Amino acid sequence: MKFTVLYGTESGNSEFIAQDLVDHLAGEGFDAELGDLQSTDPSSIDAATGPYLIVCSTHGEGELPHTAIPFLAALEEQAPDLSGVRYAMFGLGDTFYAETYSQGSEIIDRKLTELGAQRVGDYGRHDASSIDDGTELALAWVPGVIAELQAQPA
Amino acid sequence: MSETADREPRIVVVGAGPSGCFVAGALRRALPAAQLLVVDRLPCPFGLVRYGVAADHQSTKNITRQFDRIFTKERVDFAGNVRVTASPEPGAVSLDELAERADAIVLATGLAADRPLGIPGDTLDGVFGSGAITRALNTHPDADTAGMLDRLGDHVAIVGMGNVAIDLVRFLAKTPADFAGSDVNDAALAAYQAAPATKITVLSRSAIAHAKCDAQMVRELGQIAGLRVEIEGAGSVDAEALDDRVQRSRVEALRALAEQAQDPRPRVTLRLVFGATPVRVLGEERVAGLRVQRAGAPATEPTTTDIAATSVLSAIGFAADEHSPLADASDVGGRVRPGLYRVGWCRRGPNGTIPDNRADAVAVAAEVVADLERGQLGRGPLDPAMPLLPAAIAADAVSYSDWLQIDQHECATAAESRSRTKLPTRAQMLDVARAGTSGA
Repeated sequence: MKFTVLYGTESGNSEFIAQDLVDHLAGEGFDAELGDLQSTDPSSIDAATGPYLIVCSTHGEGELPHTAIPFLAALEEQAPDLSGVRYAMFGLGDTFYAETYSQGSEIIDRKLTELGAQRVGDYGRHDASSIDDGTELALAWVPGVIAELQAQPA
Repeated sequence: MSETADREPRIVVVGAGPSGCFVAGALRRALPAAQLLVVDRLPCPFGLVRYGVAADHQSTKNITRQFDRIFTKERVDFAGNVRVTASPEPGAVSLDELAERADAIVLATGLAADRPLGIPGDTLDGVFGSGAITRALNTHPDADTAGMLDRLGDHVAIVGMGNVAIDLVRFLAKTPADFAGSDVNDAALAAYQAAPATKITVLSRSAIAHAKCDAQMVRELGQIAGLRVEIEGAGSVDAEALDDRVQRSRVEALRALAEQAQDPRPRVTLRLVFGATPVRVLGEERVAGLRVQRAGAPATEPTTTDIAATSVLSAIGFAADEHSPLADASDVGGRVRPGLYRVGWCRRGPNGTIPDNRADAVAVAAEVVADLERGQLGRGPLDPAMPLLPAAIAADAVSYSDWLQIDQHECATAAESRSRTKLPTRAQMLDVARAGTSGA
């Protein structure tokens, strides 16, 4: 199985977690490629290059990080048919921002689902106000995603 | 990288605050084999994350986990206790000396001085800069804690309403118990709490919709017990009618705060005044108040109002101080000349949060890499075996593993209900760093 790990980041934390996921997947014997949502064209998203793991933070008042906004705009404009595409989400946020906690990633999640893609596994979350390490949580989260992908071959 | 290169590029970043760390990380990703060194004049890294971010905002300080990684896992070197100067000085390394050893120098020295109010009376006793207060609360080795926090008096006026001003409000209005889990300087906190203010007035030159603070910073004030909030000069601005989402959130948060924080017998009364421009600090030797020009005052009324105050805190931004190797900050590209770059606040002025500086650092790193690829940087004459720092400077430098000794010490010796207790002087930091090195 080949994974594409995409990140949307403002402060860089998502990028590091995404890199750690790529390293972990490679260590488990999977093909895994890292990509920045900033330089990802939605037309490249298809079932053959997935499944996708998307690590995305939240900015300001529950918005996407700036680096992910062009990707969302392109998704909305191109509105590709993403039937058959499988993805998992790992959202970053800060419960200090109680009302908008971790909402950035949900914007991408809603759009992908709306275009026909299927989310697998639990919705991963990291809270910057906690003492948890983002990478540790992501590495604890990803085996469940892999198990579900393997249980339901595309 | 050009195929004619006979060795890997060598780059020194001056300043280990967020911009310096971000630019080093971005350079590492673009140049996996380059020799990268981040130096800082203090024995410790992280700049404003350690000494500027409010002591009660520990989650914001968690960004250091990311920076820790570039030094421990990505082969970026750190050398603290290294002063870089514009012209040669004893005990310091000059930019010219560095340029003989490195292909590129990136200045990430920030803006360390408080921007003065620039109005008559702004040097009166009792006028303090937000940076000076913040450094005292954050145990900065250059902080002058004496004679400041114990003399703020009963009515503190804050000029400016950005996030730094709101940080000051939290410090002034919170009770000592509210600092649990922080790394606030306990001596500074105790000095203030001996006679804390009961009135705080914050002046924003801007209208309510354009105030500089973030909505979340305003909402957080609602958690402080015993607070009464009054809003003045906001006019009848209707949040619903604002198109800009950030402005709408801010106005909604301010109105909600004023509605919610209405303790009938308040411990602290907070007045937030909009459209108010200070024109003079009043008083003979010591601050007695502020004269303020009010926007939109009826023509029949005087255009200025006098506000009583026992001290005035300026929170209107920062400027270069005398230690900056390059003084002027203006919003130009990162390249000062091929081989010398600047990033973050010392490039574009004191605006933007920590994440904003990441975007800036990525852009400036790309400029450095582009110059390297075009062969614009003198990579020929440098001896690949020459260290990036002169031996005398390197001998007194603090490495990243030395810093980890300081870090561990501060966390291990944290006072009760503190996340850490910072070592207050350079000498103490150096002692702990060296004890760790020699005691192996």
